[in-house]
Amino acid sequence: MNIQSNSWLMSRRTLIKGLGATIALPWLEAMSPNAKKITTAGSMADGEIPRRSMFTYWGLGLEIRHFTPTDTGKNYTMTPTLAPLAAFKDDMTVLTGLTAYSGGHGSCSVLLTGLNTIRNAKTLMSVDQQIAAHHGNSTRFPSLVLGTARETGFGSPEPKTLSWSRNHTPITPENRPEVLFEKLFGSENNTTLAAAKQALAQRGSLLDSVREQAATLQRNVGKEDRARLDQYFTSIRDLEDRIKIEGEWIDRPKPKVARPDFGSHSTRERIANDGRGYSEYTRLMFDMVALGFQTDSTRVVTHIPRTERDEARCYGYKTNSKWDLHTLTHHNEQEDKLVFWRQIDALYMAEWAYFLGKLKSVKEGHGTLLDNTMAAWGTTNGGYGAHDSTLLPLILCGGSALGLKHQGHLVQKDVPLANVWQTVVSRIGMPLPTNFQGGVATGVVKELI
Amino acid sequence: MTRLFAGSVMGALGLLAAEPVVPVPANIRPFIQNHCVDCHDADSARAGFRIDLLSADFTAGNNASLWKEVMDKINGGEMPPKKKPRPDAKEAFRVTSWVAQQLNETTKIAQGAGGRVPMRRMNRVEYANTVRDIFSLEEHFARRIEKELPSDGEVGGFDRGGASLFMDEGQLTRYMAVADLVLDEAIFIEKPDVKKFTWNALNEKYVHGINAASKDATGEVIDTNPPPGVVATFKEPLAKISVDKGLDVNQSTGKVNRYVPHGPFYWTAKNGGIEYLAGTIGWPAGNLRIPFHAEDWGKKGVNRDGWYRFRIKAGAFKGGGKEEQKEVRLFVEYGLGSPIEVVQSAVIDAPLDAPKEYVFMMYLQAGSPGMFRSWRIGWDNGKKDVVIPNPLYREVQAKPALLAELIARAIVDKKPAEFIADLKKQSEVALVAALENRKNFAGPMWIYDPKFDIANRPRLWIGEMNWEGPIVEWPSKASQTLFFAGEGRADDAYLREIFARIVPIAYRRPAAASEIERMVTWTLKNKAARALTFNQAVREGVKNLLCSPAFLYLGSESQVAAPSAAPATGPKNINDWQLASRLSYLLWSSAPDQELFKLAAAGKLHDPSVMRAQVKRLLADRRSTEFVRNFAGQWLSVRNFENGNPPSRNFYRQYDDDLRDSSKREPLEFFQEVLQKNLPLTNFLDSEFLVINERLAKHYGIEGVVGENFRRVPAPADGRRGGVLGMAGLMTFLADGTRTLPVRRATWVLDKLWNQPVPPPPPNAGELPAIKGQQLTVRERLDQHRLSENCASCHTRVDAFGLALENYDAVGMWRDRQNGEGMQGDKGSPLLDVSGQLPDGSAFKTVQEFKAALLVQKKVFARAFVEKFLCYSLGRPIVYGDHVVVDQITAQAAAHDYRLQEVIQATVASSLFQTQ
Repeated sequence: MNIQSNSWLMSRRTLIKGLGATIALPWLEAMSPNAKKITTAGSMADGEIPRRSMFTYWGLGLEIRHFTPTDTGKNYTMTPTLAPLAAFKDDMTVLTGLTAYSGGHGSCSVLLTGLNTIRNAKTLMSVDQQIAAHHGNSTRFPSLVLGTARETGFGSPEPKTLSWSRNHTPITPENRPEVLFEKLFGSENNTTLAAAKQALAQRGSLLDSVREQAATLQRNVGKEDRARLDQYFTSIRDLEDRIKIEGEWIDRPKPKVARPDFGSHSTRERIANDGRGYSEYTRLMFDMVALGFQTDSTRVVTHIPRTERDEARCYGYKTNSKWDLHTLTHHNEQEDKLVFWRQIDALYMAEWAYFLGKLKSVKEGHGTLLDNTMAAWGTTNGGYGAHDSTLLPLILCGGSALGLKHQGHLVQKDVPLANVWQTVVSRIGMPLPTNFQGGVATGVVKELI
Repeated sequence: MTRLFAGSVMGALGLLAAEPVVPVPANIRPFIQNHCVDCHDADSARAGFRIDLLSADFTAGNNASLWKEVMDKINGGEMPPKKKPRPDAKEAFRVTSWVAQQLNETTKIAQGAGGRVPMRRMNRVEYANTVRDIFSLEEHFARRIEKELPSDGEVGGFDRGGASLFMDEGQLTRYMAVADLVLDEAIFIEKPDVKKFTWNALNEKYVHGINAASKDATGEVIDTNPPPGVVATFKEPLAKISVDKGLDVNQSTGKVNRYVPHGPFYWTAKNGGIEYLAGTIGWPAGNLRIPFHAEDWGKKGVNRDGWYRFRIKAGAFKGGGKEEQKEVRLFVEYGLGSPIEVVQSAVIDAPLDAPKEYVFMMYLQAGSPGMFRSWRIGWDNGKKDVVIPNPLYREVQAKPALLAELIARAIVDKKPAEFIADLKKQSEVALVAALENRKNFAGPMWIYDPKFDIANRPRLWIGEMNWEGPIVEWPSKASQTLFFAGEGRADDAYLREIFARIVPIAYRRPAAASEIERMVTWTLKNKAARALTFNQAVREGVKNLLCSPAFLYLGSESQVAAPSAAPATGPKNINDWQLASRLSYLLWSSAPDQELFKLAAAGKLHDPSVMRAQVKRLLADRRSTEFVRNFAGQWLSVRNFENGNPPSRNFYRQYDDDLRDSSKREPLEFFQEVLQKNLPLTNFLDSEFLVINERLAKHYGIEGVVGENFRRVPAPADGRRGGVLGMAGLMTFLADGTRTLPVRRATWVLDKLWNQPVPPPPPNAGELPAIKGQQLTVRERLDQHRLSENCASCHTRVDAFGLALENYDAVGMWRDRQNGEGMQGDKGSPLLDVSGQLPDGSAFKTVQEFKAALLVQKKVFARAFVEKFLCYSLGRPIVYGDHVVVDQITAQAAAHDYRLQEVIQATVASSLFQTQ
């Protein structure tokens, strides 16, 4: 396929209809060093380009004084922590001074829901799930929920998921890039379309049966237990919706992406101990997200590349820090600790730069994938260290083709972090959900739109 | 923070408009009157907040969040504002404690089930064990199933709480996928593809060594460098020397070679096998690997999870005189460094000349596509090179280079000219000598290092090796049980009979005829719709069962009693089937067995003496190790040990993998001892015995414990160890890899042993004074908290519990002086001061006195343990309303010295366990 000539500028829909079993997808210009090849074709009209959002959470915050630029505006001076992002200076806004109902290691769920649930109460729906509901079944997967730990952490001192469903249940993240790859691009086991359709029908039939069984059970149990069974019914209903979506997608084969080398180590081992494998692992996950976006397999992703605990010791081998990241955040103003904290901040920021670079390297429409994706680097631990919920930083990247006007360094003292999400939602082109972020959001960040 | 607060308050006000305001308790009111109302009432609602409208009903609306704001701001010193009169610190603490307590209670109520035992889905451990027991699956396979499912959430620190065991689309999808896994890999398995491999030393064709060559049978020299070459082996191994025309030893053209005797290898062919001499050569020191031609048996042979048998004929000599080592141990390693790693070893006790066959049965996993299924054998052959290059050759060859370096150095150092000229002359002489040596050296190229008594060095002989696997019962046991009348029939009646047997087992109770018929109808319909074979249809039916709520939900066994009767709303006795499941899932984390089902069918489980006997039986059964793994594993945080920061291996050089693994087992082995011997609970606080192995004994400085098995030994008389608090694994977990974390240790003790959890530090706690440039002990750093009144009020009550444990450093080793954080623990470091005072006033100077003080309060501990165990048993938090039963159980335990089994018996017999 000669990709240079303009005759390739066809609309996406045309390609889907015309080419049958081959793929009609946004074009992949540059590839991850891991992915070996990808077959793509064509491009889309600007108006058809999907509006993506990506929300990430980085536990334990940053050395905020070293991070925050002293000047503001588009021509601000980048600090050493931000330096890895230099190539994207015009593609992002660094917001500082934000605030949220957080502080401490148990508040990552505040990031996307707005309120700290004190570990149990009915948690609000997170903004990523609201966006996913808006996108509906435009993609095969309404959203991806990712993280380094494959558990919700519910009830423990450190929750490990950002995403809460409309049913008030936390969504378990996926942390295995190879499993994610199979889900997005894996070859279906069924050999024929007919067999795949039958397997779906089979699922539906099984769900009908277990629903019937649950209905019988529900008649015979007390009120409290009936409420618990409601979750089961909801799961069945959601799964049936899922099957319906899959049925709509079954005629369209998954994008063909060559399988990267995932190595032979488990996730846990990759990021364990001194974290030598952490960078590689993190980049693999970011690769999957980028591939997911550019193949339009999904349009909204949440990811926790660093929780409040597990990755606290990474980069020790690079910096020779004697202490783990958590200890560094309790520095008591000791210079030898602060020095390491700053170093490590920059190392982690380089991973984010890798992700932005991946997005920026893909041409899409008149710009790049990054222009059509709003990617947020966020945390709920701010302040000068340890357990502070003020002075929260947030780096909002990309999305300029969606109407985000980047302002360089923008100070937003005591502005709720939720306002940034209200801004993001406004660019997705969806109505603002009722009781958005529990009423914590007070408006959009006007400078950004 | 102001706008943030206002927004949510507006929301709260909106909700509260129609609700009555529940007033705060009388002892809280004065504080609010004196310090809050002025700015936060109807006249001046500062920041939009009105405390007079904030109800003390924590369950309504946003109240809990608002009260948390209040508490955080008081704790953080932000409120009242700095310019207002300061409140009395004790009073402020009383207010914030009240709020914290209310928040806690609200949490529990929200997670509770109205005081009942909630029906809930199985957690992943229970699911794995249940399918294991129903279908007679391998233990290894069950553990794999467990890991396939994600970790579950917690309630009260345990993963058995209904409120945290969510069911959503993702979970249901996972259950369906895992059911497929179980069905395909363990029940309806394909005929196993058994592979057999053999290795025989006589067929070994490669010569191992550097610059190696050899003479074959005809006397011709065969050069194997560069390898590989298939060469006739074992006859007159030779070494190759390049003889150049030139003088530059580094520029060998390799074109003109001569051969000299190689000298010894560290292996030699003998008696139809290969005999290895202990000592490395050219390999990394300590490398275990025995170099036989790389066998890809792992890669070719392991196509599915299962048992694989490896047989090897071996003999050994463990050395004599000063060369003697403890043993010769052969290691067999599969998938080293990957998640599917399996390592086994055996001591080779047969002599060299009378080898015997050693058999290894290993459960190996195929793993995922990327995984490298490596297969190696090795032995710990010592870290010394016993075969070394012959100095007569090497030193002569090395001399020119040495001199060249001396010359270069001399030029840089500007040494006198004659000195340099002399060196240059020596260099020329050396070059010529090297060349001559290469022409004339007669060998051997390698010699035994004269340091060693070679004849007495340990040796290992290996002969024939055989591999066979997978060794798996086929058809599977489960399949044989399902298709109880064989696989010949395929009629509808047979299907009915099959389900008549399996449905009650899956549901854990008798099934009504209508229920079985429903399954059969569905299965047959499915069979027809998809044109399945009989076996396939049964498979789908079983999958249905594994996803059905009656299987997944514990507590659903209530359904058997009069399905048409209206369910009661108050507590009522549960039926025998529910009781059987409650009991087996408590003590086995798995489904009831045949005997429990029989007793349930006979309606006998409500008989207290029968129940008592069953508790004893279940505890004595092997399956009760799951109780230890899951209850103690969570109560004592063992499950989280690997999430702690690993100790810095630079600073704690003694911390090795063996210590890490042994530390994980110690708390469980100790708990098992207390459980099986029915010892008093107080042993967890302090005990006169330990349950340890050799590695832990070494760590604790205890002599005379040999071997990796855990066994009971008397605790040292100095009282430094005993109970859980001195356990290395726990102390390491409650440290950060470099220094101890006394506050974390303190909160652990208060939460796990006293069940009085400490609320987390307030956000925006404000800055503590900087301690730039000071080298403080951990205690001194903590003392900083006392400089702030707000911090002090909590920390003065809490810190002592952790500071008492300061003698255990960041890896749980005993120390008298401060180490970590720049201090070495040597004579220059300050002595530790672990003294303190408990909230009840009892003072202590040492950790032994601390433990004694805890023991004085054993009633508090026992009650706390009862609450924790009750929470685990019921699957919900224990609230104030349960205190009657908690008192009962504690009293009964007290009457029996607080013995652990008595606590279990009393809990099982309690009304909370026996009712809905």
